[in-house]
Amino acid sequence: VRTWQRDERTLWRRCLERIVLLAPALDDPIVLDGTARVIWELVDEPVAEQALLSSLATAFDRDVSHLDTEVIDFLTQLRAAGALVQT
Amino acid sequence: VSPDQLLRRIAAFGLPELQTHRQRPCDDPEQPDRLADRPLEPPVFDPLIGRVRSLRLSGFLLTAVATGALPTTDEQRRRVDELHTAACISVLQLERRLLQLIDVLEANGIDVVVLKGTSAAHLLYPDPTQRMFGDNDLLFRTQHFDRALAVLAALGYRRPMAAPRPGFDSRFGKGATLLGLDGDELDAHRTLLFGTFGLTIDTDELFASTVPFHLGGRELRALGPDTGLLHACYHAALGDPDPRLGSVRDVAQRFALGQHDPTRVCELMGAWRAAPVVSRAVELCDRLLDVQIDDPVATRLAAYRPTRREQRAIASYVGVERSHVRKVLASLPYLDGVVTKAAFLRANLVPTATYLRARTGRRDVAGANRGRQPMPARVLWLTKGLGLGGAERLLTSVAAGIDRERFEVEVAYLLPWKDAFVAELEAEGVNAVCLGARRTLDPRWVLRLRVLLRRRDYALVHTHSPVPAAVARLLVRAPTRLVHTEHNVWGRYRWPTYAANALTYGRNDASIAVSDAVADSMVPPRWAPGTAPAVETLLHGVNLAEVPRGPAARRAARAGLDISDAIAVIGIVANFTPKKDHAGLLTAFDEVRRQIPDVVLLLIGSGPLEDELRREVAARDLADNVRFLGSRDDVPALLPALDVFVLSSRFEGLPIALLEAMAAEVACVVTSVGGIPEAVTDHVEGRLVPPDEPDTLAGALLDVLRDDDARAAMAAAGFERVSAGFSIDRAIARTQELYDQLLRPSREPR
Repeated sequence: VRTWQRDERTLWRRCLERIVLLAPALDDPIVLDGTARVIWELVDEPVAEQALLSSLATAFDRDVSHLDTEVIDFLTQLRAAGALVQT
Repeated sequence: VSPDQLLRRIAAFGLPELQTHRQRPCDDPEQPDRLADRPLEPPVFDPLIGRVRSLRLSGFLLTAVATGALPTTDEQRRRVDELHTAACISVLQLERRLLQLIDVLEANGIDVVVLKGTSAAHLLYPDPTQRMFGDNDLLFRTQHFDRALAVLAALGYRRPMAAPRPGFDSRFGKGATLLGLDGDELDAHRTLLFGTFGLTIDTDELFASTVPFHLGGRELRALGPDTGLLHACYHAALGDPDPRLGSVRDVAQRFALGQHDPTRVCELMGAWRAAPVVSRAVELCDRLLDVQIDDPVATRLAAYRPTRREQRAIASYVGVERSHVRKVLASLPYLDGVVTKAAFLRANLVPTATYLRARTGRRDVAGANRGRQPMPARVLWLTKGLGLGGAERLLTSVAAGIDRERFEVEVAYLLPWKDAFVAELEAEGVNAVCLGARRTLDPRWVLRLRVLLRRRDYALVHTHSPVPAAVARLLVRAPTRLVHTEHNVWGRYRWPTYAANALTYGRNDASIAVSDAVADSMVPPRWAPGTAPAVETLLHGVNLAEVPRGPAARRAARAGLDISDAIAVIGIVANFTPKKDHAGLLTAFDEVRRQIPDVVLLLIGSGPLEDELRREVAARDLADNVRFLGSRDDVPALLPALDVFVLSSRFEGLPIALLEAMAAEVACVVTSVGGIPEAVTDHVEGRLVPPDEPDTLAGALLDVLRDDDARAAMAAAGFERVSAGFSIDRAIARTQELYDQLLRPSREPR
């Protein structure tokens, strides 16, 4: 089971509708909003990929199959930036 | 609730177990933290946002909005989010830099304690996003201090102000302020403050009781709850003559958290002779935040009255006559032994020339007494306000470059609510005096100006606004010289202003116009008395180093505004007054939006026509495409987000915002009025269009937005034009040359 979790080296702050984060491999901070923001909130603790997708599907009233590719792409990008750890 | 009260309540927002003791007009027993019953009106909200930004209180404002304590419109909510996003970007970069520095310092065997900013954010607040900050503060052991500075110097940190004398830092000094290669500021501390109260602090105790906190996966050290509380009190009570609300909030937060040991705090307070400091900090919580501290430490201080010596010591930091010399003299009783007192006095009263130059910008007093160098001439700049505007920004830029060995500049301004640039001027060492007019026609400012002119004995008064200029010309007497800089074409002045300006204009000794168009307009009527001096056009400019440009700046600016790279962005920096013709711009933009749907117009500014413009935006169904950003003090950082900078003005002198946009390498579409054609040639740096022709303006905007190559070429040409022709350094040099000419001793009496 793949799980995702924030990399503790990532510096971040919460705004009203956004998250600003500065990941180890990035030169500049990036801003997350919408689904990306919710994902960041959900990976506070290690979370199984399927559970993450289910939570998002519930939150946004979408079918998991419509979300998985985009979400996993996004998670992979964050991992490449050093913002997330995958186990 | 007044804007000041509202700001203070925001600064106190979310305090744990808030202890308030006064009934407020909008207090709701069910929601004691509620700040307002409905969204604030734009005239209240806009200045509030500006002050929240400059005081770094956006985290508290955000919390108030997020909890519903401060109701907002959608637009206001978005602005709060943008404001805080920009603050967070800056804070995260500071935190990354902090981690990098601590890595290197610790690798060199140097112990480090993190003070204030980051440590307060992560230790004192439930969410670190509440506590914003603008620099890093590190505390070093006395024996490590010089080594720490050497390590930091190797990392590119320079120290603008040297120690008064060799060895002073590790014996008496507070520390050093350092500037990094990226312009980041680092305060390296040996103790918590300079002067009386800094000398009595046991610096070993600061390291003896630290606590851990975590940042970026690292464990760092911060002051413990007892020393941390005392440090918060020092900073709030004595850190600034006008206490910062954020610092006072830290004191209230620490008391409210109750992590300290009151007995130990009282012991330290006694040993460090800090009772007057803590007493003042507690009083500030009450006076500024309306928070009564309910704590044994405050109870013990309730009956405390400072001695005269303590009062003198406090006044040396925050009294109206505070000064470095007073701080030095007030410190003497707190030093042990004649030899130590003598060394302290010598270092402060006879410091090295390098230190003197950096500290005061003035000459070595002893050297001058031997006739080596003349005294700097005292110069007053007089202006209506120091709010967010082009002329005001220009004054601040010039102030930064004035040679203080030759000129001691002070600024007087009329309107107290227009004070956005005061902090920046004071940071440059320029004293800013508010003449306190409650409205433009309030006559009391004239009396205050008269008193100021008599007391300060200025060698030269340089005026920048027509009405204050007219009054100054009547009050100033020889041998004081008068210079006037005209920032606007005379044709735009109302008749009384024009008449007052024209009637007194002949009393000037020199006259400067910011563009040829302005100079051409400065023709006094025949009935005006006196002989008007010849007008000299002095093209001002911008400091290119202060205007970011390039892809990284664009990304950062767009991220802060939450605008993707695919959106076309047009922006205007202009207050909402009839002369700027925003209505015409909206007509033009409506057409642009029809043809390019993915386009956004950013309106940066505020003013009396705002409500009308908002209605116009709604009526044209442009709400999704037009964003009101309010008055901003970070305009240079926003400009790189633009594809096109636009001005639809009917009158202009030489708009600084246009020069800044060109310096940011942004193509311009501007009206051909005032001095604008002196900066922009049609089809070279941008497009020139006639005023009051929205269709033509729309056509030019569409042309520039559709042609990427032409737009890039215009942007590059604009940068070249500003670099070559609009130098702030040249303007400063010419201004000083003019002052020198006017102040030569051989001049004829006026």
